[in-house]
Amino acid sequence: MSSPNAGAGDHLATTKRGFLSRWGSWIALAIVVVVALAVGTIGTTRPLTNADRLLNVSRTIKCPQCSGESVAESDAAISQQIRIDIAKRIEQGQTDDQIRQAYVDQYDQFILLTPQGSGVTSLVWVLPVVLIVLAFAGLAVAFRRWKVTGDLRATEADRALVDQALADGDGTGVSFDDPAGFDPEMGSGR
Amino acid sequence: MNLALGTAGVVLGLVASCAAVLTLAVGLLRGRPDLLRLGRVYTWLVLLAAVMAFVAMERALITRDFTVSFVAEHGSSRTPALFNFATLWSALEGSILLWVLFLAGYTALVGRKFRDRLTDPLVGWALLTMFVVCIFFFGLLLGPANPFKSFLPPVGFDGPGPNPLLQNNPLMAFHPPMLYLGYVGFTVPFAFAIAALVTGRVGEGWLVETRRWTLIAWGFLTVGIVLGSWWSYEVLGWGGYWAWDPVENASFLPWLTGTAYLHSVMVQERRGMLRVWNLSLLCATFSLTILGTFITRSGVLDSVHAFSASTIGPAILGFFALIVAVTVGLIAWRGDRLRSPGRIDSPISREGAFMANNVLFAGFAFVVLLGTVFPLLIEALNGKRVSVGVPYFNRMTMPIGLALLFLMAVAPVLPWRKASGELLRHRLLWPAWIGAGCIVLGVFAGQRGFAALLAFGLGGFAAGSAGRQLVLATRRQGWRGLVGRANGGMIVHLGVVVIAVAFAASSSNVRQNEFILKPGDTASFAGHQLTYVGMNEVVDSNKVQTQALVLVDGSGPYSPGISKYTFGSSVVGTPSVKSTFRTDIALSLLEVPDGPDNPVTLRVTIQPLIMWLWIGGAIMAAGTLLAAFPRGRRRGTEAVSAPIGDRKTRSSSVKIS
Amino acid sequence: MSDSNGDVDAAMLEPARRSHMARNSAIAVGIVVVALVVLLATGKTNDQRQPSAKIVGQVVPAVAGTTLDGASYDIDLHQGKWVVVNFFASWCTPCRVEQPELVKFAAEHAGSKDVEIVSVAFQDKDADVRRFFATAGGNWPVVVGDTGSTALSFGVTAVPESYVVSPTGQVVAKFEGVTAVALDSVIASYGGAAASAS
Repeated sequence: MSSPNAGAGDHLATTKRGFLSRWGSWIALAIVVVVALAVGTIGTTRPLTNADRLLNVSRTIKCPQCSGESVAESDAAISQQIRIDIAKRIEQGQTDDQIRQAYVDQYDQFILLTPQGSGVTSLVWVLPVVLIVLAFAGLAVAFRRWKVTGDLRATEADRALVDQALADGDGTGVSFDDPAGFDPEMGSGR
Repeated sequence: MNLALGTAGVVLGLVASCAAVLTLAVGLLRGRPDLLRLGRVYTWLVLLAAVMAFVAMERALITRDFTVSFVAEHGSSRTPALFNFATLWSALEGSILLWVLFLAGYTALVGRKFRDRLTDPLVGWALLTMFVVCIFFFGLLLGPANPFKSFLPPVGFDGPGPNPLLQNNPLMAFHPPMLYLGYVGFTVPFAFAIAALVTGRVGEGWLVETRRWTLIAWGFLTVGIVLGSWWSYEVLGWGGYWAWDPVENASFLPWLTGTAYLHSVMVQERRGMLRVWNLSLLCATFSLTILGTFITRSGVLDSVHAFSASTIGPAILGFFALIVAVTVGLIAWRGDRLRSPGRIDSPISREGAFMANNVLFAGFAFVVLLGTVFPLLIEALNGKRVSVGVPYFNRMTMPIGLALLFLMAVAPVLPWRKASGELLRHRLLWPAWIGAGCIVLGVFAGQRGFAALLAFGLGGFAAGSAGRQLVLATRRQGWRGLVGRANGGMIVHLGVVVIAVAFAASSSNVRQNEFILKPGDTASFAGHQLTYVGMNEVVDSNKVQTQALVLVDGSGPYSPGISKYTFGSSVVGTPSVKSTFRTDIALSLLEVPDGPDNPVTLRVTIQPLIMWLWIGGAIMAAGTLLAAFPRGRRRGTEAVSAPIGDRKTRSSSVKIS
Repeated sequence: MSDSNGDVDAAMLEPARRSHMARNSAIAVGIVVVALVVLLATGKTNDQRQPSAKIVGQVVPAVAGTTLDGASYDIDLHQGKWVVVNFFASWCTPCRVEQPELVKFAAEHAGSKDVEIVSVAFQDKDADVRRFFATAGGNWPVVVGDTGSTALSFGVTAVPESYVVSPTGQVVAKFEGVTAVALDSVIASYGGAAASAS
């Protein structure tokens, strides 16, 4: 059934068809991905057993005697003792944060394997993020600057230059750093 | 005899290196090509010296010659033969000796590979730089890390043998040599980078020509890191393979900057850009290997893997400072004049992807470095002690890792200069469906958790993209489509994806528990049955091992145990792991039971897909070999332009770069 | 848009002022590395570091339980006296090394009722503890059994560790490996207790 305004309607119809044919698969894909991720994230997970909670908490508490291992991994006497204690606290119903706070009270900040962010210590979290964001911003600025000054459209002057060069029959060699020929699809493969 | 030979070797090496530096310096500054050609002779001398010292020490170790102090401190008549050979690198002085051997070998290789161009000042400066590094390491062997001190063994003396943790596993024989081949290998591109900066000749193909050296060094480093990870996993028994430990981070940092370089140099080849940045990456990589050497040996950062503390720290730190000073000085002096005036046309292009890649890898390296030294920083600032451990590193590096996976998927299909949306849509569709399929598969297999599923999806995406490139290449070129830089690179990407997926799966699905079992008891955990069968005692030449025999799901018996070494009475746990393609079940015995009928305490750690970590590493190694496969004889420094008329004139090409 | 006579677009010329980006970034990196080197050069190794002692200055945690002899022990009943709480284990070599010092300290204050020692066995078996005291000496209460939580409440990181508790119930000092002289000097610096004249 053709629309009254044949030309414009056809154009619209083609654009719509074009849009779907261009993006259709991708939209379907996006739906699949979102649904799968949603199911995977908020779907029924196995409820955390006490053993799981013990593992989670012990992985964040440092073995005080070892070189950086957590109490979950270390076999030192003190680590075994701490694991027993954490298990006891879990049975008593303490939350993960309460358990961690109790250990900080007994041992001081170093017992936690994640530095708590306040003051200078928060630098370890903030600094990398800031630097990476700044670096990408710098890249964006550089791209903008390059775009403003560079334009690949040939001007009349360019055409005249090429015509003259061809007429002269003079071939000036051009080379980049890479001598091999390149494949626009894949690079030199060398 | 061994002492004399070894010391002679070290002295010869030091003297030859000093003489070489002098000769080359005079040759370069006075323009005397005859002196420059002598450089090659010196490389042979230095190699001879290193081999002498190495052979002397190994002979002493194998014959248990306790008149050599190193053997008296680390050798033993009770150590099995394979471990005696590997004892060389189990302790500090011997490890420096191994480093020197590889360094001399690489120097000689450079001398041979560039033998036709020794009179080129750039090669001269590169060799000079390598000899300076030789001076440092030979100097260490004569000074703070001297393995050839003499010792008077009393009658009936027997050495203690290497650290028990280092006698447990044959991987000990392979991990350090691979790692050092990687570390030392980076000296070569560094030397050429310095040479390029000094001579100002950064625009020619030198960095491209040394790219294969960098690739091979990077390959060794990759294998070394994966082997070290595997070794940790087998020995430490709690299922950990990467603990973001300072020594592990020290080996990872040069790997990160090296990977950034291997990608960024392609932009230099194609567009002539980023020359000074690439030079900086090479210098940073080498500096980080020296920094890593310092961290492993100085005791300033606490680590399970560190050598015992010694006086060598300040020397290495001083050398590190010297290298960075020279690099910074050269770049500050000449960097701006040597920068290329190129520009990138569009962020959606392969150049743009590599720029983003540079930022991400630099950021990754920064995070790892900051986290490693942060406790020192805080202690210096306000005296408090903080710990920065696995949770921090995992949380900070995960988004970077995911972003890198995304780039791995998109970049191979991006053309140079500019890409259109339609092109991307067309080329990425099938890889994207593979990624989506991986997420769905993961959900069906029981994987939960947003980050892990996202990692699966992006991994599938990247694998699909790499696979697409390989399929296209093999269609066009047959088996040669698997060989060469781009194709080998795609295979390496596949290996990285396998490792990433295995990492995501195993770290998000750890199940761990302890069981007290009497003989005959069965414990049920996470769908597996563990039956304690009984005790077993194994008496060896140097240790007594008490094992608990455990059947896992009816198969086995697996024998986690505790080894008591006869010398020094050190007690070390030896775990036992049941590995299948799906799951790894790691058992460790926590305490020696009092008697054969007493109950034992077993710790069980279950993780999926661990074996794929090692398989992924093997894929990466294979990909590196394929990428280094030679593809034709043209050198990077040759002119390529069609010469005007006369084919014999080489230098008449005009370069735009 | 169309230039004639080969006029070059000004934007294509190199900027007259050369950028100093390489130099500036190199100097910045250099400064950061200098800071890093200083940090690494002045960093303390583990053996140079002071043990963490959060408990010092706090009220002593509960120390209660059954002793080797079967009696019950509670530190609160010993208020008003100096108490040295010593965490040890029979499998720990430095503990064996420091035991004579504790014996000497106990002998010095044998007569006075103001200074006492109590040992707490950490992750140990009764038989081994008995053997330890039989060979190394020492005649004071030894708390055995489930002592793990006691150790954790003190912030014990390894054995041996000893804590000096003042008569008012405050932890005033912590030692990793103890000598009689050190214990005496701590007590003396807090006003001392009368040493026995023996």
